[in-house]
Amino acid sequence: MTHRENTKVSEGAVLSPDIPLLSIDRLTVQSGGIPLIDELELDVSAGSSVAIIDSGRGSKAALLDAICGLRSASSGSVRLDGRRLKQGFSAKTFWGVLFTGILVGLLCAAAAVDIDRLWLAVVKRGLVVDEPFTPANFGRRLRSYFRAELAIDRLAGNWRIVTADGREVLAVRRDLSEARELRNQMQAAVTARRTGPGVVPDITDLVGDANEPQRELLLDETTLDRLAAGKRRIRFRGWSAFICGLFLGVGMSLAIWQRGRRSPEVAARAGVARTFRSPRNFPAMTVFENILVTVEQGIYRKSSAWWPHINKANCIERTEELIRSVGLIDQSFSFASDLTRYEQRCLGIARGLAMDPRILLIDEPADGMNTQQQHALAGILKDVCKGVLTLVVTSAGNDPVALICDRTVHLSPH
Amino acid sequence: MLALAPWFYPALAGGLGGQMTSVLIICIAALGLNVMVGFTGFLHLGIASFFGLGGLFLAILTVPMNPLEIGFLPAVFVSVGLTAAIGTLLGSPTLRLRGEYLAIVTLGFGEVVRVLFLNLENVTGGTQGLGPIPPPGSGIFVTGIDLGREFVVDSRWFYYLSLIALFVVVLLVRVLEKSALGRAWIAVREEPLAAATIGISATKVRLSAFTIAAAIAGLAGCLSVASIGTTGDPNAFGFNRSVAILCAVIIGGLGSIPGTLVGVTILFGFDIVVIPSVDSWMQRIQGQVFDVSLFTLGSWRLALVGIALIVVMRFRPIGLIPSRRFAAEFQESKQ
Repeated sequence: MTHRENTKVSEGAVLSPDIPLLSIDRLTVQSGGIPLIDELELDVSAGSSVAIIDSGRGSKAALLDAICGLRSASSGSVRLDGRRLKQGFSAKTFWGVLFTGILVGLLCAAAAVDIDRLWLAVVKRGLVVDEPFTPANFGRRLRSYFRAELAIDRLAGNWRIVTADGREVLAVRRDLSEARELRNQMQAAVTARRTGPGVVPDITDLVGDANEPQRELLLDETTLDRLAAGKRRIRFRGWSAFICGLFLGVGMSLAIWQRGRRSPEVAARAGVARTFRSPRNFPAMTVFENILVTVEQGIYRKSSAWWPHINKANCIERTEELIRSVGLIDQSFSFASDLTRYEQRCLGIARGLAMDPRILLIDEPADGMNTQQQHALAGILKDVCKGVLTLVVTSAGNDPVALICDRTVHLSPH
Repeated sequence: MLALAPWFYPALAGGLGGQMTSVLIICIAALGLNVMVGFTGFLHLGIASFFGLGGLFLAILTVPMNPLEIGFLPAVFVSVGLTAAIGTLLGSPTLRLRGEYLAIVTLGFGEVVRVLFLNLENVTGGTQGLGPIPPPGSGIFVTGIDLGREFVVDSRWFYYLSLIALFVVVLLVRVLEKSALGRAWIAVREEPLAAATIGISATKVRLSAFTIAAAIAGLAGCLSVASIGTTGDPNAFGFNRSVAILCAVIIGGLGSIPGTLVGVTILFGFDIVVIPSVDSWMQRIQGQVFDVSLFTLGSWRLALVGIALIVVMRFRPIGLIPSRRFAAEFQESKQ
């Protein structure tokens, strides 16, 4: 095998001489209430190989599924190198969850404060009164919307004094300067109403002069109250929607994260590869592509870079090497669906190897093969994997493939 | 050949050029859809909404009634980026769903976008749409000729612009298909379980396809609204358009780039180019003979498209120019 894998296994052995590579602790897997695996204990040390023998169909596949994360165990644990095959709560997860929460919150808030009216107030109204579109103006208008301040709008040559969202028209004037003056006085009255009598309002609230002798503003008491409550209303709406959205977003993304914790990708990243009894190759890809995609994913998985660099020539070389090692060089460019069952199984094993795993789980390699093919497969596994790779093979009986393993475990002794 | 056509066929400068341009633009959108439906095998029923979103963003950024008025090219980049971002946002929670549910989500999203277009009147202009969108190159003078005016007067300019965009998109999709990402897409489509066990995160891989599909559709939308000059009626970005593009992709052959182009050219070329010209010709003939127009092909066009679909699906269910992979897959499923 390649030099890379050699060093890797020895590394594992040096780092943890006492801890077995794969340790299964009181694992129970159930299907519809019936236990397929009951309190299984199994340790596999690095570089060794184990054959798991059971005459029944479901239990062996269930065990491999539980190890590689396709099926969740009802109790017990699976550890690789002393670590559980579960995704932890990393800083990346935290920021991702927070970002999603804030984003959903902002979307909810935008919907709650009526984005259409906001656009009208911030973008369109400035053009109507011929204000240049600068960041400062933009900021001022945005602020003014969230303070529910009165604004000036134009309709058919007339200047209208409207509420910030443009829903309510308070007065109409022919002349812009006159409208501005009236608007300022009305705003001053509304602000005074909001802050209460005798309170000197926040200077930024004031656009007009509250102390100036007031003209007839045509605002009755109830209107004034309603306008004064506008600021509180819009802020309440915005903040409550933001907080609801924040909780919703955080909750949703945490739920998604929780569901994805124990997934095949996590196991694959940790270095678990498996093959299936029914071959499960990619049928409409050639043998070459089947292995190439696996090799590439192996590199992606090992790299911590956001956009890992792939050396294409190396990938192709490794792919060809793997194809040769399982003896499929003649079928290299035929579709996987055109292969015989034996060739498909070889391809499956080659794909498992292509992941450059620490442990390879092979589900019933001997199933459906004749004796000659079984011997051939045993030969391949012996040449390619044994002594280098940790191997877990399942089998229905003592076939040649099971016999090459260091030890055998009977799943159900009864 | 398509690039040289306007030289020999001056009619392309007029109405026909505009019609051909819209066919080219739909080709681009269909290639985007093909990334999602063909390569990752997920049914996507809302491609037209991304088409519409791309166009809307371009309009918001360029129309004189809004204060931004950035130029055409930066606006295209920004709109494509925004459309891709919306695709990512929609995709990241929903792409964990199984195929049929995702189809429903995209269908619903398409309707949501259409209704938002209709109701956010201050932003989108409601049923009237936003306009006029200044043509690309307006304000740029080359040897005394205003490029913007040229774009309006001579539709060959847009024809070329769309042709270049189409060429770039074809190249992009081809490169993606042959890349590691493309292989991962196909692996997820073929055998999701095995793809998961070799460490491909199906969600991430699909999300990338969904985002790329959204971005390409957004680009098509930008070109479309720029060539028409207004975003027009939002109902044009609804479900019907999505399904028509999907039909074109399926007729042409899923997962095949030339197939998609042929499918769109046949379906939309028939609809946009052939029918109007045949009708005007028939009207002339009938006018000479009977003094009245008795029959127009236009009124039968949907029936004809339907019949064509049935015929293609009956006799060539993998599409007109199927990809090698789909042919293999089809063979296998038949056995």
